[in-house]
Amino acid sequence: MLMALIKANLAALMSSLFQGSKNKKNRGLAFKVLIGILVLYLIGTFFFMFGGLFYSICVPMISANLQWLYFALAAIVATALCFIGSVFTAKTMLFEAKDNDLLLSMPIPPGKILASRMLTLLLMNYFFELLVMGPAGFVFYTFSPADFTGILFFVIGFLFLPFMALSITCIWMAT
Amino acid sequence: MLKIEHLTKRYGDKKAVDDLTLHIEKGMIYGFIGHNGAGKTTTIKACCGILQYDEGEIYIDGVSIKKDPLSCKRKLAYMPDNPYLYEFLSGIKYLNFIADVFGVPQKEREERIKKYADLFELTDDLAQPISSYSHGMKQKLVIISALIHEPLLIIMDEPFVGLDPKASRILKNIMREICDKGGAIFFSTHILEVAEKLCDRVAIIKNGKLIVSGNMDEVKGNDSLEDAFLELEGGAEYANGIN
Repeated sequence: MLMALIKANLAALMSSLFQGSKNKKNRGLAFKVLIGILVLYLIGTFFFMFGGLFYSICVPMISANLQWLYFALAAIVATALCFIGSVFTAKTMLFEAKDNDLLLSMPIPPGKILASRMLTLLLMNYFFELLVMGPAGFVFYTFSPADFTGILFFVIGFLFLPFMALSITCIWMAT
Repeated sequence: MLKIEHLTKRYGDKKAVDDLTLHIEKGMIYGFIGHNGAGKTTTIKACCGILQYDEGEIYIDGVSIKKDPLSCKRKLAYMPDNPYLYEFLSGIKYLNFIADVFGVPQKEREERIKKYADLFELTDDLAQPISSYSHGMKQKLVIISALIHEPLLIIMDEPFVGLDPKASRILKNIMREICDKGGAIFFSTHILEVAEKLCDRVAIIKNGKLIVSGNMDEVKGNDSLEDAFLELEGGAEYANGIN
């Protein structure tokens, strides 16, 4: 049931991003391919943009033994992007949801409804985080030898950072 | 099937529903009539577990909706007056979503979707996004989604609004069929002619309070339901003035 709810939320999210107007019949395959190419182009642009940014600061910071600052900067940029990227969706999904009556009239525990919305936002935050932390990690381990502990902390940081971004977003929208 | 006992719901200081008691038995089509803002939708939403109420109790098939809401919701279907549908989904995906939530097995859901979509002449449009549907088509989709898990109790808020005469007749037949099989239907309407012909019992509510309830003869006597309603609501002089 949770999966069905998350799928519906993700479909709503995709629709709000890519469906230009209402009252449109099913779009053709060409339109979907075009959208796919545009999305890949955008992801590539973000990767190169952040890759370039972190490339310019990576070597000087490693030389100055300021690796912690490098990752701190990457985390701040990722959190900021997660916040900007999800703040309005969080508002629509958590505080102005129109499907409450529909879902509450069905045998779904309210906790699951909330969980599905939070998980959808979390997935969205992981996506935004990947746009920053992906290039940052790639650039860093190109210039610095990869050690197990470093990678472990990087992965743990990657997994937990969206929770912080989501908490900030929810508190921001609730106040 | 549905027992509303001394239901009271307040919005701030205002009592939207005030000490309402109604019993809807199995096999019964029960009409719920009242002016705008009388408390019909509030009552209906409380019965579906959407709204919390302040006093009283609601039982669905003997189970309190407050104490075991999930068990109650499995037995009922709710049709809102202005439903929110996932417009980005196609009709068939929406129906499958509802069937997934109720855990309707694949074979049964396919049979029921086919049966009701054919009946309401919606089969050809099920692959289209709901955003391209007309109001009536959306209403038909809501009806199909309400029937997909074969509920024991259907609670409807203005179900006939937006339906063409043919679909309206089909819905009435389905309602009677469900009740003949031991189900029950509780619905609000402003279309008094429909209520008069269709309902086994009716209740009239005014400012949150039950004015009268009973079978059609008890409520309307020798008048039409419209006359009886206007008299009870205090609008008869105005209506006669127009005439």
